[in-house]
Amino acid sequence: MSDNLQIHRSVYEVLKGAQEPGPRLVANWLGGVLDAVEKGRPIAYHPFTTFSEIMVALDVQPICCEAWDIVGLQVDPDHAIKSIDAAHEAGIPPELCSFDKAIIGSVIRGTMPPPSMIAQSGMPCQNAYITYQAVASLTGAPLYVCDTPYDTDEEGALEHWVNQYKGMISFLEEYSGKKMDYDRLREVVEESNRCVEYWLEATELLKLKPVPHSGPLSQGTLSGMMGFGTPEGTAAIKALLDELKDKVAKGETAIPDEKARVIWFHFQVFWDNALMSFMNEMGAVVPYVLFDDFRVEPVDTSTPEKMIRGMAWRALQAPMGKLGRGAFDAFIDDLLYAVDEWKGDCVILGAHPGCKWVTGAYGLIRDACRERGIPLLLYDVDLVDRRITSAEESRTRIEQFLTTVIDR
Amino acid sequence: MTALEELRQPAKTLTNPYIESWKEKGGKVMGYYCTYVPVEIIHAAGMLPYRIRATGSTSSDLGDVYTYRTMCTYCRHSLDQAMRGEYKFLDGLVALYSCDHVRRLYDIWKAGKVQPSATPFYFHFLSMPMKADGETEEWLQSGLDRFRRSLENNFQVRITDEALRQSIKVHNEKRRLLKSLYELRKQDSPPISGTEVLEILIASTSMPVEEFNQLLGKALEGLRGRDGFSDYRARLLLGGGELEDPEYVKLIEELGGLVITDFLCFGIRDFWDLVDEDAEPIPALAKRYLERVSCPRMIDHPRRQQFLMDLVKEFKIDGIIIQRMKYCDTWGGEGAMMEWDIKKESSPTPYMVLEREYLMGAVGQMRTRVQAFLETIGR
Amino acid sequence: MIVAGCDVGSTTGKAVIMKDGAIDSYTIIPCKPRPEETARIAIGEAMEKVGISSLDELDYIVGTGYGRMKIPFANENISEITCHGVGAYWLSPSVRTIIDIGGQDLKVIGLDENGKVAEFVMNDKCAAGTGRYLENQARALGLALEELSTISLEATKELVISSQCSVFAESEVITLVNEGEGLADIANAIHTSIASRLLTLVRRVGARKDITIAGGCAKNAGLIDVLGKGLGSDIVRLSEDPQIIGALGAALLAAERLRKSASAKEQGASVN
Repeated sequence: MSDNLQIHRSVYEVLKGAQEPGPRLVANWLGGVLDAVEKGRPIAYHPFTTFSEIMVALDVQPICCEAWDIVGLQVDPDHAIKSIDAAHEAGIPPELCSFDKAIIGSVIRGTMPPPSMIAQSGMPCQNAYITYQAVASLTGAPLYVCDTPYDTDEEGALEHWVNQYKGMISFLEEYSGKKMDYDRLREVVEESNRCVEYWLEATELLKLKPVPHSGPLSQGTLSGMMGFGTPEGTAAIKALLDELKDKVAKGETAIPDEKARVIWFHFQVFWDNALMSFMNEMGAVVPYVLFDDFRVEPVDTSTPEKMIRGMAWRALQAPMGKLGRGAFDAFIDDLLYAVDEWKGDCVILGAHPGCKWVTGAYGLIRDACRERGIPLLLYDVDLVDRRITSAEESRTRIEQFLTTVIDR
Repeated sequence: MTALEELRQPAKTLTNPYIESWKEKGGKVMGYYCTYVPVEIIHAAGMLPYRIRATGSTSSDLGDVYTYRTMCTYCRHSLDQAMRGEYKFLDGLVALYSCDHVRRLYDIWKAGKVQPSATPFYFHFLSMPMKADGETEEWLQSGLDRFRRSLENNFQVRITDEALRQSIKVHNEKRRLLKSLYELRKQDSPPISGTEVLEILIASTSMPVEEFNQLLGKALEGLRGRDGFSDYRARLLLGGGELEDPEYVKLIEELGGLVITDFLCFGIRDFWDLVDEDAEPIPALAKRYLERVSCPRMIDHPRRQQFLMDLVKEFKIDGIIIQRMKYCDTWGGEGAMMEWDIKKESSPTPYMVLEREYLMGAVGQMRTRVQAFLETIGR
Repeated sequence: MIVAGCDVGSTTGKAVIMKDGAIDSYTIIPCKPRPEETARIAIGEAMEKVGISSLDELDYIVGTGYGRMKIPFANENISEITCHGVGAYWLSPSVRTIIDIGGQDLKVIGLDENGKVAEFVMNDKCAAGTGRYLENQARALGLALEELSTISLEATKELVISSQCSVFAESEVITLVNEGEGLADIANAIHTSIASRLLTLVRRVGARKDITIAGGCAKNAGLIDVLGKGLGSDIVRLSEDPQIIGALGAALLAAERLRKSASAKEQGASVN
């Protein structure tokens, strides 16, 4: 077992003494996982769209499956590939989302600690349903999936959703053998409220022209994935926000001469961190990365019932959850909103080939951008598998596109 | 033409004389993509439910404009047909979250990119749960109520409980008749081939159910006297997702693999479970549609697997072939999970996944795989 | 008893004649446009080598391969999957996995303890990793196939060809040449890229030992070397030309058919 967790163990060893909030966040999470493995504490797998506050409050160690692979990728660029190939070898077809293939493959390879339970809020898409069923099949762990209402405006939809969310809490209670302590949950949620508040404030600052920071607010994603509701999670995003405020105060901008603002309407490419700086070198900044847009009200923690309702509602509005579930209108609306609010000159959608809920409606995105005269680049780039589109191909496509935008 | 021959006709074309005559008399036709759509409610509204196929499509060029190469070819061909106006006979579309491909197909329709004839064209998206528990059943009941009211408001009709009961009865009758048909296939020399059965199943979704029931009743009588197929190499179960091409089944059967039963959505999954005729209609429908033999869109794989294995025993199956449309995520995952489960059995049933596209190409390659599979089964 | 197997593939046609349980003769010829022609020429050449003048002298003929349904003189046709399994197992009963790299497809076959096909995977949707791919790459480097193979063994530097598409992989190779990379290293990279595709398929089928290779590419020492390293075990070499394994299996199955029908006749006779 320890051999298989070697990569993550080594990351923990390197980061555990860190003082900076970002590394501390990662170390805290990894430490928690390794501790749970050693002491046999319950571990719950969850996807990014299922926030971990209820697990943290129950003292169940959460593992955000995508985050596990993202950490692995930072050390070994082939980390995800090995897992993806393991999934292929087990009969999982290549066209599934590679994040999900990597998760299935990591379970097969034993490079993720086995789960005591799996909880999923039912978003964003079918690949997630399939993945966690496959993981449940492979590990024998109990699985709870919330049934997400397709159209939240439908009569009774929110009630149904809250019931499903409560079902997830009961499930976690049953398999952890603990009862939810709502005072503890309040602490955790007030912490995650702060996290979201800072995250929102940071994204607001990126509306400035010229922008103080270009690219993903990685601390936000990390906080969301690894430390939602923990002081370390909040500290990481707070540190980023303070840095941004500082830059604004000093008049520092991401690049000296901003020629184009790119709305990056998907996740960042996790294996190609230099892609963002490549765009910077061309004079293009990225004030908006899709899954940093966490526009949602704080959760009202005054009573347990209000708290649960607030958390449930937030899960529906959170990045990826909001756009993945339901009809495609929300995606187009948010894209146009982003262009307007963050003053985008163009949109780049580096879509993950397995992301069929996005690529399936490519034509609708094109029409919407064409109507508004927004230059659009749609291209394939896999977020974790560097074999699909090479770094070089990415740069060629983006360079060709940005040249046309900058020359306008 | 015999009743059986009549039943084999509708599969050949997109529409047929039954639909044409229905429309001539002023009747309305409601299109749907998935067997989770409760056809009883559509029927009780006095409309003809029609399961949308892409029969006759030869290319998906037009459809491809609005979507991407990773959308399954069935959806792309259907989108292409829609854009060419081939579905002008439809008055509306009812869909649900069958899979990511279909839901975006629905969004493209809804955005006005296709050519329906009815103005305004009726759209409805059912919030069909992906798991069965008490809570989701209540939610589905309210969803079915909303669907009923929506049809009433849009088409100025009344859908009475009595009408619903009648629709349930007549669809249950269809299901019973189809189950009798499948009983005949259990024989050592089944009187009907898998190809013919698929044609009959497609007919059941493309014509008025009352007429279908009549014809199938007659056909069953005729089949009882028919000489059975005995010259086959293996008894096969054909499973997978959407399959509307009898030629595909024919190719397998020509090589000696007689398709004895199936795990298809045009097949067993559609008709196996009846609706409770004694209960209140909407609750009965909600219960039946949630608890029926599930499609992999539902998250109860272990229960599906058990059903599949029971089928294998019941029909004395020698081998399972799962046909999977390329890019189909649902069957991609399910196919793998089935394989893992089968390999754990003490004597695993021979099993193969065949990847395919909507249009039957690469026939030589398919023949090699099927022939090799039949050779491994040993006869 | 004289039997024959005839394997009509997409790039080559093979025929094997067996007499009383041993290989009498065999041929490998490039394909003609029509499979019937390929089959006739192949069987004709094999017959000529051992002085057989008429097809009637052959007691039973099994056809296999891509063109198996078009072999007019075959008594029956059997898939190349089954035939490769039979052929390889006969030559080496310890074989459990057979990798067949054809002209235009890849197959991996897993055998059970009795040498029967247990499972198989095929990749015939694209040319990446096949004989055609190797030919194109060799041409891009200005080498003959045999040269590509031998030179790759001299590689010292690890290069990566990452493109999954054979057409784009060719461009990558040209880029590497233009960047001044050594031919030996590039040749090795080509083999590595094929191997990685194959390894996934091999593991998909369980990768049980002993593992062997059939098909023309089995003569490519450089590829075998890379594959063996990737699998962490030696690839077993078969004692006959690896290209004839399918036709050999077909001939063996022809003999088996004869034996079965002979014993059925005997039983029939004894009952009477």
